[in-house]
Amino acid sequence: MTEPSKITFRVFRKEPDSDSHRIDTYEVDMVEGMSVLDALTLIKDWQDTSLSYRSSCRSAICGSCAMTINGHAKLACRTQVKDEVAKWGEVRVEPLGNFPVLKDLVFDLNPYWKQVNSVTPWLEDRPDGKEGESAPLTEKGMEQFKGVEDCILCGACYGQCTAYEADNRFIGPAALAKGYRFTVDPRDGKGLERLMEGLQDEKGIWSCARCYFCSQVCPKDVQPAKAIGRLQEMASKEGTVNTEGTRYAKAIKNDIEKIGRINETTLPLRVAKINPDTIISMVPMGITLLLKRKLPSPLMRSLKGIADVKSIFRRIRERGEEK
Amino acid sequence: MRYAFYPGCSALGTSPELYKSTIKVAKALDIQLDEMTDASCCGTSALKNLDPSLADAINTRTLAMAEQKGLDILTICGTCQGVLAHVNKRVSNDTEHLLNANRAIADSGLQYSGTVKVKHLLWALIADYGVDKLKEKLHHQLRGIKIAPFYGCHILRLSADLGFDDPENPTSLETLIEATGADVVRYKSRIKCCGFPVVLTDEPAALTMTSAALLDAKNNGADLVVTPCPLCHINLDSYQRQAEKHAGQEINLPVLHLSQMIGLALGMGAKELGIHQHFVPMPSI
Repeated sequence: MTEPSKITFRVFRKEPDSDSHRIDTYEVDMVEGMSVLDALTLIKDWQDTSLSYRSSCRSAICGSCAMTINGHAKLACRTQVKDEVAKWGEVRVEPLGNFPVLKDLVFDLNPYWKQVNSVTPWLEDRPDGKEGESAPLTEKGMEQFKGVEDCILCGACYGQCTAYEADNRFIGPAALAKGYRFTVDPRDGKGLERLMEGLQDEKGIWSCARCYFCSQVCPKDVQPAKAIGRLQEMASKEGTVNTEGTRYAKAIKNDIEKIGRINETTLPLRVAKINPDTIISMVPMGITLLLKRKLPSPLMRSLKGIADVKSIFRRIRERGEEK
Repeated sequence: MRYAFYPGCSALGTSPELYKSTIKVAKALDIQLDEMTDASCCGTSALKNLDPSLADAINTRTLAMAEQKGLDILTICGTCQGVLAHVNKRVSNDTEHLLNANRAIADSGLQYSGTVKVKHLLWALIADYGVDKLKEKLHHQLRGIKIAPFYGCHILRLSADLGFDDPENPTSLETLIEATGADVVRYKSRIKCCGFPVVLTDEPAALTMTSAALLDAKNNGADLVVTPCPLCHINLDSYQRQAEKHAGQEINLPVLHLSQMIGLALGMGAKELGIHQHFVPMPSI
């Protein structure tokens, strides 16, 4: 029998009362089918009992063991050591990014729960308190949030969300996916009001950077980015929301219908809150673009086939009305 | 090699140097570009999010135009690549989506059957042109220069739509940097967001992303950044002065379009490639 190969694990370690951290290195014998969680369990049982991490079900259901593995947010229980070693030669394990670390791989989820709770992530009666007004759940109704309800609240999407990393007031992917899931549930009476409370402000749906990290790393394929798109669509249709985000999306749509392309020169003016400060702040950029010959004429010619593009818009609009 | 060339709004608008350098590089490499002058804007990730049926339809028109020519599409923008590839997969793998999109474009006399591939210049140079053949033409003008690759989101994610690079550990940009003789800068932010999609809606957050990525590249020794996406280029270059102010730190890191890096390695001049049109000047090589 051949000797089992040794795999190097570099593990993030931090004491609760310390601001600094260190990386500890462990060698683990490779076993066929070993998950990163299996390896951490072996390390804790046989090499270092002081190592702390969260885990429970070992079946990608509970969402406890989300962590950063070789730089990417993953569930340790469903990540094969073999795959990581094939790609990186070793296994680096850190806590999920963008969360305050408590000890080693254990992080504070409270900021996350606060965001999730802010969208009223449950079904509510109608605002007037009348029961029985909302529709029963049908197969067709369930289609609306198919897949989105699979979220196991592991936090992996926050660990990788670039907008949340830039500003942790951003409500974030899992919370928005939850908000969407309950808003479109036919049994729900709260509906878009849920949007008005938590989703419309400047750190709501329009602060998503559309980087698609959340959908890429989600271990349950919830596709939060897609859910955020649906919320943006609903908020825009409602017509009650007039933010930079809605103006941006509508400006792009209008440009394509009108001339077939985006008029980049006038776009910022159509998106910004029109006040003297914002206009003045745009001047230096405008002048430099002009000097660098990077500012095309705002009077753009339409595509030759613009009639075909317009007809596409008309047909899609008619189809929307049929629904 | 011949492609239906889809330059995208930026190359035709605020990034004329991208258009110019792409045409020159393609000519030097004998890549035929059949420009799709009547194709519409892809709608960006904003429209793909906001109105998927509409995004399907306008991009299916573009795909059908290339199919009629019997050519694959060549893009030079990460976001065009992401959106066109996403729609291509959606309509090619789902008859209902395809039927709906074809109905919507019926007045143009076009119909799409799903045979077109959408390729970014980055991928085409590696998979179609070939790195060995490319190396023969590049004369290592960039030897000794440290170049940081910056991918941009939509050329990597969702990987199920794109299917070229590994989204966790992409290698295509590094491959081309090495082909020019330059040194590759390894840093974490290479696969992160430049901040562009929110620069008009949440500028402080956008500038945090922009400055973090640039500083990460700089702190790891970069002389230059190269990106295959003109939208990333806008944030990394045109907004770099604002990003410096936002971060309270000088950055001063020149950013090249992929086509410009290849052009320099082919021996073309900086001016010929429009590098003087960038906000952050590049020292002479």
